[in-house]
Amino acid sequence: MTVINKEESRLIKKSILLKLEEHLSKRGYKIALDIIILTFFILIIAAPIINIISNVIDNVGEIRNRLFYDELLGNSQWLMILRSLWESFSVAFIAVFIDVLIAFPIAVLLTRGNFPGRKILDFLVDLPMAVPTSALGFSVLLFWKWFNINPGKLLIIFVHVAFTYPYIVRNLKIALEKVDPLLEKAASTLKASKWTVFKTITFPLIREGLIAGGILAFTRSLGETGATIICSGLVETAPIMVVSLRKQLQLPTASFLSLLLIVISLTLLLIVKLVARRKTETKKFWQIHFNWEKYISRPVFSYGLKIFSFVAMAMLILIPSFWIFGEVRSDLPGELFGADNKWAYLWISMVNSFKTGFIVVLIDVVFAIPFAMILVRRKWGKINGILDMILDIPLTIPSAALGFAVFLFWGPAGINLANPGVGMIIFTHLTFTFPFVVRPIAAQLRNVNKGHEEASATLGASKITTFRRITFPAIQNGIIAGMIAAFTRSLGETGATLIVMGAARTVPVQIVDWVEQTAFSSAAFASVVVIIVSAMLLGLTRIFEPARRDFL
Amino acid sequence: MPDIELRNIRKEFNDGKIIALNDIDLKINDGDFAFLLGPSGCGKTTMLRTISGLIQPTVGSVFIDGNDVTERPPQERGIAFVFQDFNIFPLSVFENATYALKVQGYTQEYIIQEGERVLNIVGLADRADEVPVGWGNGDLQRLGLARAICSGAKILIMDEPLGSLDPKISAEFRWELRNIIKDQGLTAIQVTHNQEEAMAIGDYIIIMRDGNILQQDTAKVLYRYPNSLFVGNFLGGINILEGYIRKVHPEDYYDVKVRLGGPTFVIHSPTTKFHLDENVIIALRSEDVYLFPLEYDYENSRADWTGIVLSEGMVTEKFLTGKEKRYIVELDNGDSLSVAKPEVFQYEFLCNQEIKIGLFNEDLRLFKYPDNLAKEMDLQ
Amino acid sequence: MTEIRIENLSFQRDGVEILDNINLTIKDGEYITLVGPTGAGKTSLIGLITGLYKPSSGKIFFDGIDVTNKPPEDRVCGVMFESYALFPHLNVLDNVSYARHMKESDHQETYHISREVIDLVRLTDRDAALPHECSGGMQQRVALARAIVALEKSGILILDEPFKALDAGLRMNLRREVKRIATSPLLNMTTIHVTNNMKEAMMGERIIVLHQGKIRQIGTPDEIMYDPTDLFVANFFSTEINHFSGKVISVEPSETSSPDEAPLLKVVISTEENYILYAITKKIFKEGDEVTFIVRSQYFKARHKRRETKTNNIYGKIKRAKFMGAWLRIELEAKFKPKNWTTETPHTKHTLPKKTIKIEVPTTRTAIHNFMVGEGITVYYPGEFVIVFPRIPKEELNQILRVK
Repeated sequence: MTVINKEESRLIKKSILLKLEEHLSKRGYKIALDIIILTFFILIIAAPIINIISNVIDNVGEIRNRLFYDELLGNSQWLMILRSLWESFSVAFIAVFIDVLIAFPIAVLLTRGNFPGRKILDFLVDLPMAVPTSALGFSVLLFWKWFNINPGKLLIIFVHVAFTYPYIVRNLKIALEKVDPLLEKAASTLKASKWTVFKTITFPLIREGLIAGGILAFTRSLGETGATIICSGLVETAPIMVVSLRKQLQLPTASFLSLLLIVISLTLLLIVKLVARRKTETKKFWQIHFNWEKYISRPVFSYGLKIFSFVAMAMLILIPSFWIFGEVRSDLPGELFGADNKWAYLWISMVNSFKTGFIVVLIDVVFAIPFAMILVRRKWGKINGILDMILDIPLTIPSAALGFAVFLFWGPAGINLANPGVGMIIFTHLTFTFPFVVRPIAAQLRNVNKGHEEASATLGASKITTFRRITFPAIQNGIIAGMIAAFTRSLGETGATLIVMGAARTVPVQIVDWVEQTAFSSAAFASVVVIIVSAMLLGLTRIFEPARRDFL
Repeated sequence: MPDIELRNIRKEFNDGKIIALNDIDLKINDGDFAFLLGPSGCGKTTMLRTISGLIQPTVGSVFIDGNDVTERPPQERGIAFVFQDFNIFPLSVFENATYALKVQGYTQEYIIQEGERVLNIVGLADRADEVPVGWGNGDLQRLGLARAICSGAKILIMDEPLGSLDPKISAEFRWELRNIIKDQGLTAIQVTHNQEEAMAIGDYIIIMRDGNILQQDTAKVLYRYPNSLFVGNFLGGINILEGYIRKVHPEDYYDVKVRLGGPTFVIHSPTTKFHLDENVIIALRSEDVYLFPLEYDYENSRADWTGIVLSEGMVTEKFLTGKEKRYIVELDNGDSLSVAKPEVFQYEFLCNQEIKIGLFNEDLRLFKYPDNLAKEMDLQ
Repeated sequence: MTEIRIENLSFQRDGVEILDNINLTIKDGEYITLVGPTGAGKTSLIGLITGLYKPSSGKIFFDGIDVTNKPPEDRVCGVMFESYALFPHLNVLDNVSYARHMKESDHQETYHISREVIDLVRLTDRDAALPHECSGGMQQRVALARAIVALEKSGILILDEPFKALDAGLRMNLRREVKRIATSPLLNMTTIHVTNNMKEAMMGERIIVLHQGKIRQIGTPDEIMYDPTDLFVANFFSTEINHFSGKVISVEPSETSSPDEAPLLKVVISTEENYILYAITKKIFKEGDEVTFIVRSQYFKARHKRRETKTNNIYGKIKRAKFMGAWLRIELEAKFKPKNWTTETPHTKHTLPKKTIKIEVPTTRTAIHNFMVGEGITVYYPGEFVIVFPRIPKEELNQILRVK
């Protein structure tokens, strides 16, 4: 509203939209919006987790009796819990270790290299992350069967390597992109050979990204249920145990194990973040073995390493992940349209999956945009940091535990708003998909040129007009990317769904069921369908991925 | 008419740990083109942002056109901003230029008419439909200027608008900028790092340091009669000599003796008072030092030379700086002076040549001896 | 200490010719500036010398040894990058000593040597600071120190736009400071200083002028200033210029020629406005040559007296006058009264050709005469300072001078 004199005012014909935007830009609306958004956030994300703590405290006596002093079993259930935790953590640790080994050269290749087919490779590397893990698990199972590797710990490790690998590569890529190539050039003019540059400049600068990716991969591995059930054989990991405890209606024990998983995951996260901050001692940092560092800087080694990791990646990740395409056999129609009409089940589960996905994503996006604004833009000091931390919790803790927490909070045992079934699946999926929508929006908001918004404000646009014309177009790719990420995540989720689904089925759960019923052809077919859908969705995110266009 | 007044403006950051603006009072009249100048971190950008409403002052009020606008958001102040990094929207040239009219709900006919008029002023009319990707910085800033003018605001605030331009382009563009602002009858405030630019196109200059306004005046007064050593040095390098007051004359004349056996000058200082034996700094601009060959008979050969001959000295360094030749000369008492002479200067001296040095008492300025001389001379 | 020789060097990137057939020798121990507008190819040339880029064709020799195919770490270059490129995770001392750590040497000695250089750039006691804790000026000095340590006191020091991010006022002081350090007798370096600023370029013992991937001129500041090879160079090394077109009407040897230098000619020119002037030049012209000549704004001397009939005097009215510190900038509206002007010539007083002349005069006590807007003054420029080129067509002239 620039100072306008009388003759000029007749030139202005404000549309209803402009008037509304001006009105809504007033302060009161902002406060109301803040309250609504924060209430949603606390109810959806924080409350179930707090609830599970109180639940455990309430039932502490019963849990003690069940675990340690059971009349029939003694403390054998406690020993089983310990066993399952050990299986989960050892698998996660080994899987991440293998990932890191083969991820580095590929990440470097994808960021620094310039070769034909780079985009395709990039897409293929990311795909296992988007595909429902139960479909992936089934594919891996079929692949390794060729090598006579049967369900068991080794196979679990192979599956986990496959679906956690993209998390590491992705985070390494992001970290590498942030490193100014000029720093590496500067180091090479300062007489450092290629390997030494990597050791002294690149690696220290991407260390945090590597750790972030490692944590993410580790927690994902820790929490995975769908693929693990398929490949586990007799091994029982912690999330599987939660699921089976829930099936046996041993609720207090299940809540105890869930809480244990949540606490351990969060502690681990905290420790790693603290350790990551420590700096290497200067003396150690400068220990450079000149001769062999110069020697291995020769191009032949870097090519060798790249070829090795490429082959390893293909063997461990790419081929097993898509092996299933070759497994759709001729007995499929008979099985699918046979007596028990599997096709109908598949169709219903698909409807459930997609319905859940769409509703969840829609609710998410409505709340995620204002929440991302709060996270990035408000200067609330420590509160921003705390909100940011809470937002990470659903990503960190095993989804089975999270599902159980949601079940306790919203279900009959809690405030009784939803019964196991599609409604409760939606509540659960809201919890763990919300961060997936918020993260890319927040990331893009941070990159929005604040100057553009200031320019718009000084040019007379109200706050909401500025948001509509300047901010929204700048973050819309982030919004779409977040929505698709949340949708694929919802589509692929197994662990939490198993706990809250009641009689309803989603596709990944259906796949697990069929594998257990040895209806392999139908399972393979369902897997292929969801893999194709996920691949298409991932392709879509690529289109909307924020293009790194040098626009001012 | 749109004048700007700041009353007792104070801006603190980090809970008062940083004082960006220290109780500033300032008035800028309608139609003025004012420059804000100062070392980095002096508060000049904070001042611009306070006036435009992009940040709120901790204490004090901003008046525009006589109205208190302190509480108003930027879009309601009638101010347009031109940014150093342009902040051109990813829209077409025309859409960028007419953005302000669009978001204020002007009629389409008016938008088209105004857009064409303003793009003509800045010389971008024939590129109206382009999207300005890959444009040179000079053209981007033209568009930034068009966008600001088109908003209809009568006050233009510019934060280093020429700072990202190649020196050559910036030197040409600044005259155009001044012409446009004056033709449109705008009141303008510009921040710059470039002293020459401020002196060239500003009506007057406001010099700031550490959140305070040190001096506000026309370029000529600031350059010739700075009220502090800092201001004098900031507008162009000066020579300083350390001395003390040997005698106080009536009507603010002082006998000042340069230390280490240097000469004595009679210096007029109407604004600052000094007492006997007080330590002082004598400042002299490098172009106000005159150099003569040893054999030059300054009394008889030139009628208009009414200055004094300081002493003999020697040229120790000599280099070209583009418009002038610069000599570093060493005086008998060990002090050295930097001397700037136009290239068309009648004499040419060589390194290690003995010369005579002359000056006018009237060109000498006298300042209190600062607590920290190095800090006072540090421009950072 | 290194001599650099560049032979037929060309460089293309993404199919675009960035450098075109560069031939250049930089002498041992020289402080040379490389100057040109943005996009001239300066950074590419530096990248080729340091080995960060590979040339499309041509060769580079350091002290006569072909280094064209050597990687950067095997060349003796220390670079101070435009954005400084300080390692964000290393403190000042570790940044500065980085290159020393790259060879087997004692840590204590490495730090000792680095601290010496840190003292040289006046950063004593800031060893432990991380780059982001340093001000712009300090970061710049860290970058300089790092480059110097890399050279172990001899080699090629490359300064890429070292002052770009700094205040104009601060630049003046730092320029001398950097030159003091680079040419310090403690060190033994060949320095290439890249800049887009003509004042900064004047720091060099010699200047390389680069434009659109080609070397336009290499020479001492005096040669570049007073004997530019073309209009681009002349314009780049001016704040403002005035240009005239005309025809040579007579050529004679100048009295000011000194016997040990190339003979100077006094060229008398009649301009399009029928205005007669002379120029003293080394270049050879003959009667009837079409020429364009330029006079930089700072070469004028101004007087109140009306003396338009004397050669190289222009009389005009002050249209604008602006105080710019040491200089007063005047826009003069000149009406040219030809030398042989009489009332009978076709021009009446109102139709005399007009031209705006931009001049700058010193504001010192002996030079300034209280010039007021609207009054008439006579300006004079010495013939020695006129730069004469064979006639440049109007379009080319406008393109180079960017006239709208």
